[in-house]
Formats: sequence, C-alpha cells, structure tokens
Amino acid sequence: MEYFIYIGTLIALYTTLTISLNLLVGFTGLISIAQAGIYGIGAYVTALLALHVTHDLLISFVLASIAGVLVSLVVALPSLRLKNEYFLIATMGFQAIIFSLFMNLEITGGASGLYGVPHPTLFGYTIRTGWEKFLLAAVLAATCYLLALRIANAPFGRLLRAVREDQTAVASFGKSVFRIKLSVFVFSAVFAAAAGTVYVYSLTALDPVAFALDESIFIITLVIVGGTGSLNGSVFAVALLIVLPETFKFLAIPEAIAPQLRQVLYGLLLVFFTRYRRQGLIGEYRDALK
Amino acid sequence: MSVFAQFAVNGTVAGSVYALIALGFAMIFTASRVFHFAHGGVYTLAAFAGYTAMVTFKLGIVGGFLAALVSAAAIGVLINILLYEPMKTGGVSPLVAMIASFGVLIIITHVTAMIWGSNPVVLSRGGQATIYRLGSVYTTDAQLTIIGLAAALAIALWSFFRHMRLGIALRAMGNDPELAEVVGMPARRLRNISFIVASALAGISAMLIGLNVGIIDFNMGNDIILMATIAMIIGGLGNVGAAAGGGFVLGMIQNIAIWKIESKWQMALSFAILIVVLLFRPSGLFGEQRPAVSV
Repeated sequence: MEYFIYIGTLIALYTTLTISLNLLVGFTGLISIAQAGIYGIGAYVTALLALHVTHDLLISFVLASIAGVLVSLVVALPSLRLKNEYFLIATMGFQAIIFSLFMNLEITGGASGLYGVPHPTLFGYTIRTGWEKFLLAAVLAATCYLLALRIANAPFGRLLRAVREDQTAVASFGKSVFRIKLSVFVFSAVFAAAAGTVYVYSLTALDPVAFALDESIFIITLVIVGGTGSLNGSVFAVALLIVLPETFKFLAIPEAIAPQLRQVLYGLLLVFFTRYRRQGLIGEYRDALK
Repeated sequence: MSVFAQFAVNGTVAGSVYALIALGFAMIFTASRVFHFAHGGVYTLAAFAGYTAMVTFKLGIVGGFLAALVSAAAIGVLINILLYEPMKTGGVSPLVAMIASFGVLIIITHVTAMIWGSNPVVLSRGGQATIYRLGSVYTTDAQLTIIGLAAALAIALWSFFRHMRLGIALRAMGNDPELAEVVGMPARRLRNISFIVASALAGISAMLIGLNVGIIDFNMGNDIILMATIAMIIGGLGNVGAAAGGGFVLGMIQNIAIWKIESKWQMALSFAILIVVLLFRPSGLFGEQRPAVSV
C-alpha cells in the first residue's frame, strides 16, 4: 500500500510540474528547460526554512513561491529577449548555473543534499503519514490543473495561443508580448516551486540530482508526449511514464540495467513523438510544435 | 609566473579538446541548422567502440582509432538520415529537431551504459605516457597531439569552408536550403557528407581525449557537448573557425579562472559567459554580424 501511495504522490508532483510547464511550452510556445531548477529553488527554500526556522506548511508555500518567482524573473528577463533555439539554450544555461549552486554551496549541503527535514504542520496539525502527504500533492496538482484550465479557456488563454502563432500580430494589436510571456513564466514558477515544497515534505529530505538538467528534459518529454497545449494529455502522459517503468520490477529485468532502460524508454518516446506525432497523445492540433 | 604558464598550457589543452568537438558540432550546424546535441552521444559511443577494438580484441592503437572513426561516422550519418532529414522534409523547425536530438543523446548514452556498464573503464595503450618538460611547464605527448590536431583541423576546415567549392556549397545550403536546391545542389548528399566528416572527427577526438585522460565512461559526452555548444555560440554561429576559436577561449578562461575561482564553479562560469555573449554579442567573438539571434 505504501508503494502505491508513493507512486500516487510522484504522479501528482509531476502533474503539477508538467501542467505548469505546458502553459509555457504548449500555449505560449516558449520551450524552457529551467523548470527543474525552479522546482529545486522551491525545494531548497522549504527544506532550509524547515530545518532552521519554521515548518509551517503555508509559510513554506508562500516563501518557496516567492523565491521561485524571483529566480524565474532572473531567468526570464534576459532569456525572453532571445527566440526559439536561443531561448532554449539560455534557459539551459540558467538551469546549469542553478544546479551548480545547489551542488556547490555550503548551505545547500552539496552533493549529499539535505535530510532530517521535520514533517510540516498545517494550523497546528502535523502532516505525518504518506497518505496525508499524497493528499497534499493531489490538492496541489488539482489546483494547478483547475487554474490552468481556467486560464486556457479565458480570453487570456486565447491571447497566449495568439502569441504562439503570431507574435507580430499580437503586438500590432497593442498588447505587450513580453509582458504576456513574463506572466506565464511567473505562473509556471509559482507551481514549480510549490511542487518543490511538497517534494521536500514528502521525502523529508532532498537530493540535488532531482533538479538537474536531465530532470528538466524529462519534464519537457512529459509535455511533448502528452501533447503541447493539452492539459488532460499532460496528466495522462505523467501517469503513463511514471507507471510504465515501474512494471520493469515485475518483468524480471535485472536491477543493474532497469534505470538505464527507463532512460532509454524516455529517450525513445521523446524522439518518436517529435518525429511522428508532434501533437502528442491528446494534442490540440498538429502544428503546436512547429 | 610558472604557475600561470602551467594554467595557460592546461587551458590550451582543454581549449583544443573543446575546439575539436565544437568544430564538428559547428560543421553540422552550418549545413543543417540543427543543434545536434546527439553529437555528444556519438562521441561517447565511439570511445567505447575504440576501447572494444583496442583493449578487448587487442587490435592495437590503429585498430582502436579506426573502430572509433567508422562507428562514429556510421551513427552520425544514420541519425541524419533517419531523423533530421525526414523532419526537414516534413517542414519541422530546427527547434523541434534540437529537442529530438536530446532524446537521441539520452538513448545513446544509456544504451552505452547498458552494454559497457555504468562504471568508468580504463583506456590505455599500455606503458608510460611520455612527459615533456619545458622550463617549469609539463605536458604529455597525447596533449601535444590534441593541440596540434585541433589547430591543424581548425585551419583546414576554415579554408575548406572559405575557399573550396564543396565548403562554400555547404555554407550556402546552411544559409538557404531551398535556394541551394533550386540552383541544383545535391543538398541531402551534402548534409550527409557533413555528418560523416564531423562525426568521424568526434570519433578521433573521443579516442585522443580518452587516451589522454586514461578512463572513459558513459557520461563523457554530456559535459563536452554542452561545452561545444557554448564554444560555438561564444565563437560565432555558422562559422567553423570561429567555433574552434570559441573553444580555445573557453578552455583558457576556465583554466586561468582556477587561479581565483575554485574549479567546481567551472560549469556555472561557462554558462554565465554564454548568457552574457547571447545577450550582448549574439554574433559571437569572431563571427560576422548577423541579427539572427534576438527577437
């Protein structure tokens, strides 16, 4: 049972990360690979707060999100001046710099990360069991999904798609393309950082490897496999790609190669979907990824 | 002063290593406009193919280099034929091809780990490395070979792209593939040639660098392809000589910075330089002015 709760928590966490990134990639056409870095900022802020100051859940969420937004502004303000490949490479640069800070600073605990984080409290109640933590992750994922759905169907969502399709047209209507992109970036950062908070409290520890470049590429893979611009697609892809490698455990695949095989599977899916099915599993329409 | 001289020599070696990979990376970018991250995977796989030929089958150093060169060229051109060309034909942008390329990199890296294991293996031709001493500065024969090869190839490729018909054709095709095909250039074949040559180059480099370091592992291509990307952009896009120059500059900065900044910050420092160049000098240090980068 513990095992299924763990898988459920993972799915909820990645759903939050994938949907918030999908707003950037699928709706606005901005392919950022700094998502894991911002997720990590939320996680480190939460862990350090809990270890040294407070493990109140709401304070953790608020401060982690503020930190996530500040860092996302540092990433976005320069990167948004670049287009396409160069935007992607600039965000990759920030991802590498953020990861390097996690690995090398004194306060972040270096390569061994941080551990012994206390359980969070919510209005005096201590959230202790795996089941309660799964609920916490699920509530975050549901909130992220519903807000993203609301944005997608609101006039602002149409504006985002318009930015993706034709920036010049949007600008010619007197809208600030830059401000639109920046606001999506900030929205995305709030949820990525909040996912970091839930990650830390679920494990009561953190490992810097969870916030490396590979992780950012994995989240992009989830967005693409699910379908850029499709929220249901993101949920579906997360469930599929988290559960599928778990079946290796039952297929008598040697433990030495199982993690490698998992990566190969993700790589194959990324190549397959970018090559043959760019709309993803449940894509909005074929040319979202041109 | 002697410390500085040693840093400069180390910087030249590191810079040559980056230049060797950046040369091929830039050659492919020039011809097909794809950021071919899987080049790092080709590099890794070639090192292991060379290792198998040289150490497992005892085919000697020439056999090792040949195996690395041939396997790299074959994988490189296959990636182009099976992935990038169909994407190009389907009207997919180089941005999507770039994302697919990450996928290929992940596949090759982890397949390598499945075949040869995830622990580093020793790559050595046996015996001692010859160490040269110049005043208070030390270097090895493998390092000198790397520096010499990088310099020679940079000059050769630069003049190839500047003065030879095939080189000029490749650049023209990178600039405007449709126009190139309209005037009757065999675009597909030219791109394949670029992939073969650049990948073979990565194969040779992988062996040289593996022999110099003494060990190889399945992750060896990942950091180096990031450095090649940085080198190409800070050197100047679409220009092979500039990419090599960028590699030298990057290697120098990294090694001279060790004086003041601990080596653990090398990666962060390199990417910080990249971001500064992207923002303030998108045409690179040695590139022609072109407004292609910003919005």
